[in-house]
Amino acid sequence: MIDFDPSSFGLAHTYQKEDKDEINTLALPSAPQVIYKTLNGPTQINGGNKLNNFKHGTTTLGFVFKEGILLAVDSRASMGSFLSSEQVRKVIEINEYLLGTMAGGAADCQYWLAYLANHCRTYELKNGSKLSVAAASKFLQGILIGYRNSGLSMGCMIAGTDTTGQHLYYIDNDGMRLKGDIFSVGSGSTYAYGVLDNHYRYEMSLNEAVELGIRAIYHATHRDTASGGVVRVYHIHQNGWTKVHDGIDVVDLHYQFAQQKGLVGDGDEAKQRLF
Amino acid sequence: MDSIFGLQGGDFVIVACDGSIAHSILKIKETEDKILKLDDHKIFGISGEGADRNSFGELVHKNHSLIRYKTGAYMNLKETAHFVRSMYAQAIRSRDGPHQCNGLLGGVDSDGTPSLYWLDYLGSLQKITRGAQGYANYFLLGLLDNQYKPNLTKEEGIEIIKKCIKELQTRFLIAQNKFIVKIVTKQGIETFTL
Repeated sequence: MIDFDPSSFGLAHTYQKEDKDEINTLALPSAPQVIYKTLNGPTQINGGNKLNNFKHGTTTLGFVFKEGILLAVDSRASMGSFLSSEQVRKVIEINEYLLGTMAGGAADCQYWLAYLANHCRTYELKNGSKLSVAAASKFLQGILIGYRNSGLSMGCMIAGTDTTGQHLYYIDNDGMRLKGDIFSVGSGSTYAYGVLDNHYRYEMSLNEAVELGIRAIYHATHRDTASGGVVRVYHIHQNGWTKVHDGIDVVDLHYQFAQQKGLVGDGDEAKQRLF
Repeated sequence: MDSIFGLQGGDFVIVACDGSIAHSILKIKETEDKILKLDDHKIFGISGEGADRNSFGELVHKNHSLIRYKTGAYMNLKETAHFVRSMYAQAIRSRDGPHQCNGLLGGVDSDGTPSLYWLDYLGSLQKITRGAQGYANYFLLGLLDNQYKPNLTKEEGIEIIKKCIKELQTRFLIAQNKFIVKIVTKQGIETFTL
């Protein structure tokens, strides 16, 4: 036991053994606890291993339609209640024909998607033809299955174009790989799905699809605290991908959409009067 | 949360599965085909969370094909069922633990005999005429027992499956709207969505 001089900690009352029951409210600040936790054990999204308690604070979405694939993402990064950035790039440009979206741990997504990019390029050089979207996503799935209990946190979508068309896959850190037409990933995904499911049609034009993507992300950022910043939109077509919007501020969108409905956007739609 | 259920008739086997993949409260996909086609006369419906269903399914499919190419021998249903069981059994005390998925393996042999096998993640194997995996057991076993009779025709079998689907949609808390049904007969495999 180390003997501290109580006055150096600002204690008005000396803590002695016999005083244990009447401890002063100005108690000793506890020493920072070092968490000796290993990286073993399954990752859980909420709770679970404290070192790996990443929250997927984001909204990303992608859908397949007649003109290809549309990806729309927000740009907020948060560490608990602190917003670390409002300008994150959550669509990762793997190569000229493949895009990946980021949700979960930024480092994990960036690293493994870069690793995938390396693998795609090596394959292209060795075999003379581009890796298909199915094969690229399967390669990533294989890696993530291998690291299954190591605490990786990734909920990404791989979207791209190859000789068979445009394809969208969802891949997560559990090793799940799903092919689909509509996906939304992240804490705001449930809000985005509401808008997406309501307005989605395969026969949409590009403009309608871009508008839908923007709206869905806006609605998710409005209701989800962990999503926000700007909306970035990418379009994948048979010649590769195009960045449609590099960053539309969701705050501007809020007032714009409110105006379209004849509202002001000050949140006072209920016109509550207290007196 | 997957529902996999199946029925063996006089000359056919049906295995049906729900199409949903869920993550906590979200249904990510509604049209996922959980019944694997091992070859033209064998199907394997797998129920399990996350990657296990997919990865074990692929493991079974590729190893099944490998045996065919290596030995030239075409495994019949009984041999396949025992082979899959041994894959489950080998994994139970391995480093990564058991494969976290259960299955229903069904098919028709070259002489036209149908069979359905119930397999579980610890390596249990049982030949059955009707059964289910997961929560579907609770809702469907009574109905399947009630409706089953020996030597069912294909049309009767499909009717029973429709009744099972209706029952799940009526009583199961989790909404399962789309079901994928595969029927194996001596002529091959038919797939449809209900």
